[in-house]
Order: sequence, then C-alpha cells, then structure tokens
Amino acid sequence: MLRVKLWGTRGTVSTPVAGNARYGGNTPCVEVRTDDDVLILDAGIGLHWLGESLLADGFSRGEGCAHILVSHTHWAHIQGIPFCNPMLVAGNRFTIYGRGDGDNSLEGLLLGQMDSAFCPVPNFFDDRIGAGITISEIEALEFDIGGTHVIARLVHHVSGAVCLGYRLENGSASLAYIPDVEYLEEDHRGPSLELAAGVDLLIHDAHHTAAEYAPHRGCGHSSDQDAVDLALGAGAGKVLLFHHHPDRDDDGIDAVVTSHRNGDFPVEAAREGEDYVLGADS
Amino acid sequence: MKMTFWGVRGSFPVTAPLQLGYGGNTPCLGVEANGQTVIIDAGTGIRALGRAIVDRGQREIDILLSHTHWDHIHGFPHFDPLYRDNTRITVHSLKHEGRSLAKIFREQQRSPFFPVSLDDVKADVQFVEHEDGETFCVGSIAVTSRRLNHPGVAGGYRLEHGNSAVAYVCDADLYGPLLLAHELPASSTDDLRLQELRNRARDLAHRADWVVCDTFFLPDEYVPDWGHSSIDDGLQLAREVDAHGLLLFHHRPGRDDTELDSLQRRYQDEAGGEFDVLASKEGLEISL
Repeated sequence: MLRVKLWGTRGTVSTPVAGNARYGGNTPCVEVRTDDDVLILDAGIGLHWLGESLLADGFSRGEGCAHILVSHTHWAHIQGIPFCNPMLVAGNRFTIYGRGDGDNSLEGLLLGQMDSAFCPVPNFFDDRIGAGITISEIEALEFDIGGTHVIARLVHHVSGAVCLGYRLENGSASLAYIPDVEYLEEDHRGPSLELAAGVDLLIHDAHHTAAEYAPHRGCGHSSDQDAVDLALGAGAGKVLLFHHHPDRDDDGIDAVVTSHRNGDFPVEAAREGEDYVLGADS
Repeated sequence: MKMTFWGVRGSFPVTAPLQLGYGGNTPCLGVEANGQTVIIDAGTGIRALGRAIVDRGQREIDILLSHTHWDHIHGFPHFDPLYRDNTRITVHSLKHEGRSLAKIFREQQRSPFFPVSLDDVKADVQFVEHEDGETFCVGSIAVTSRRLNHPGVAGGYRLEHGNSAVAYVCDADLYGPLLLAHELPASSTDDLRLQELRNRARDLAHRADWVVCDTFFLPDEYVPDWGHSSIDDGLQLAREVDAHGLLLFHHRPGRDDTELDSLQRRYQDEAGGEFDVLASKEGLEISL
C-alpha cells in the first residue's frame, strides 16, 4: 500500500498569492508512506511543512527515518532542505537519493546549498550536527527501500539538467512521479512510458497549457495534454497535473481540468494537502 | 520618497492563506524618488516588482542587497529585467572578504541549479561592493551602508532624500551576542566590537522617519546565534535613536495575519505614542 500526500505542487518558485491558495503555492514535495517507511519525492519548500508534521511523529525524539528521492537539483526541487527541521534532531536518519550532473556530485551540490554564504543555519550535512544524513548518488537505476521497489529513469528536461523520474512499487500499489519533463521527440517518451506503465497514479509535469506551449518549446516542460497523452499511452489509472506554472491561479487550473472532463480518463490537478491511498484493497 | 513593500517574510516564502494578508514573499522593497525605483533585497517579492519595473520602462536598476542568505537573493533569477535588452542592473552590497558578491550570485544562477546561467542573461549585470560607512548616490537618493550583527557579511542601509530618511536594519541581532567573533581584529575585544556594531545600527536609524527592522522573534522565541532581533529589540532601537516610526519586518514563517494584527496593536500601545509602529505588509506604500 502507498499513502500519498502532496505538500508542494507549484513549479519554479513559491507563489504566495491568494488566487493560488486552493492548489497551493509551495514548490514540489510529495510524501509517500508505506506501512514501514517514509519516502519523500523532491525537497521543495513543501518539505519544510512536511518536516513540521514529521516532528509530531517520532522525528522530534530522534527516532525518525526518511528517504528523499530528488528528481534534479534545480532550486525549486531542493530548496526546502535547509528548512527541514527534523534534520537538526540528532538520532534521525535521512538518505537523499539523486544524481549530480557529471561535473558536480549530488553531495557537492547539496553541500553548496548549505554554504555559509547562503545559509545561516548549521550545516546539518556536518556529521557532528543533527540527524545522520547520507547522500546517495544513484548508480543503479533500480533498487529497494525496505519493501518498496524504486525504479529511476533519466528523462529529458532542459539542457544541462540531469533529471530523474521515479516509479515506486509496494505490494500491488504503484506510483510514478515525473515532475519535470519535455517530449521534444518520440524517443523522449520512452523512459516516462516505462515509469508510468500501468501505475495507479501518475504525477506528471503540466507546467504549460497545450494552448500556451508552442513559444515555450525547448524550455523543458510539458503541457496538460502531454501529461494526459502519456498517462493514456502508459495505461495509468489516473493522472495528476503537477508543477503548476507560478502564474496559473486556481481558476486557471480548474479550467484546465474541466477541459479534460469529457476525455473519459480521470484527470485531476495536484492540490496541496490532498492525499491518495493506492492499493488499499490488496 | 515612496517606499513599497513587495516581500516582508523572513527565512522562506510561505503560502498558507492565513498568512497572505501580510504576505508570504521573502524580503524586497522598492523605494521611489524622482520616478526611479531603488530596490532593497532580492527575495521572492522581487518577481512581481520586476514586472512592474519593466512595465514602467525603467532600464537602469539598482539593488541594495543586505546580504546573500537565501531569503534575500533567491528571487533574483526570477527578476524579469534580467531577461531584457538594454537594461543595466547594479547590485550593491558591503565588501566581501574572500568570495566576491559576483561569484556568490554566479553560484546561485548556474547549471544544474537554474536553467539560465547569470552569464547568459540579456541585461548587463554589475556588482559593486562598498566599504562599511561609505555613502554613495543612487539617482537622487544618498545611500549609506553599515555592517550589522548577523552571521556573515550583512549590512543595513540608510536612504536619504530631501528631508526624509529611511533605515533598513535587516537581518540583525541588535542586542544579542557578537556573531562575528572570528573576524575580530587582534586588538579589539568582543565587547568593544559589539558596541561598535550596535552603534552602526543606531547610526543608520538615527531620527529616521521609518526604521524597517528585523523583528523575527518574540522575546520568548529568541534563539541566540540565528542573527535576528525581537520586536522588543526593534522598539528599543527606535527609542534610542528617536525614530518617528518603526516597521516590523522579516516576519517569522508561520506567524499568521491574526497574530500580526494583535502584535501590531500590542506594540503600538507599548510605544505609547512616542513613535508609530506598523507591521510591514505586502503592498503597503508609505510616502515620506
């Protein structure tokens, strides 16, 4: 079983405006719980608030353990780490998975974010401070975290970015998370189709609307139509439009969802605070 | 001068509806004089301000940066004028020992952290580092920057135009322990250095029309070493320098509208009419 909760759904930059309040303004972070493990997809600002909820749950006593899977190191996907307070509590254990870009290791990049020029808080990657944090550069693209099978695939985003999508399988439940992707050519769809094949829930980049997409071609993001097409192609059970454009307000997102109402396929927009239970009846 | 608040929140942007009355964007102010807007800090508030500046057609832009902690710079890559031709952006700060301001900004805005490298933007971006205590002109505004008690290189500003003066004292632990001990000259003692830093904050704020002050904490929340002041510290500074008004600023994430409303009332009472007290609010405009 996978229990999924959305803590950040917004792309690019946090948007503290009232018109975005329903779908949320925090940058990407998705909590996935199995019966035994806490998995976290991306570490945007939503991670701060997820962290606060973890503190109410064993992490305040230093008994917590969580695994963070980072899609890529653009700021919006890692900027919550310096504000994740359970990382300051000794005894907790965090493993952060992801990939650097060849010139830079994931560890080097995450340490750079905590550099004293940018961060007044203690560098909690320092072994002497706070939680035990392991940074795991993903080499093999398939591995297990407890009883969850993780499949990672490189997806096409924007030049210079090494970007991963993830698939999580636990029992009969499955989830695919592809927050940043662009399909400039047919080959680019392959990794996503593999990740999303038959999943219960696909969380997919829908930064643009189909109508807006043309002038943004090459900027690394999908449209809502790309997300729906991919979900259909992969036989996903449901698609959640994710990574909302910072300027798309709640009404705009509603309009996008409504445009798919007659498509005979369940399309929802990712809404901060929403949760989903996958594989409950197995 | 006219001062407009575009971001008032400390640490990181908050988006919860109950906090949006005062606003969730990280620090950014626009100070307008003679039709030119000078920007203070580049938190996420600078995103909307950047669009307003483009609409207005201003192509010479100065940003006064207090320091390079994330919440004061992470809006910069989202600043629309960066991506416009025939635009010159000058970022000012206090002098950095070691790594330059330019280098720190290039580190923020490069692959694989951000898709457009600072070297590839259209605007001409310059970085100027000033001596502590130096006064320079930005358009018709005279600007003085002084070092404050905060980890790293952090400077506050005093902006003067005609008869009016505004002080920006953020981020700073005004009355806490010395946070720059490792930079002490051998001859000086912690106590003396701390007094110096406190005097610099007082210099900036001296009889200012408004002091925009880091008031992150309430007294019972205070944590030493974080480099922030409490609202009580802000009142103490305003009293010591005979300021006309105090603007509570750099609100703690999680502090919601109801709490800020009541803090504003409580500290207005505490100021007892000696000076005005307002909680900074996104969209607030103050004419001087």
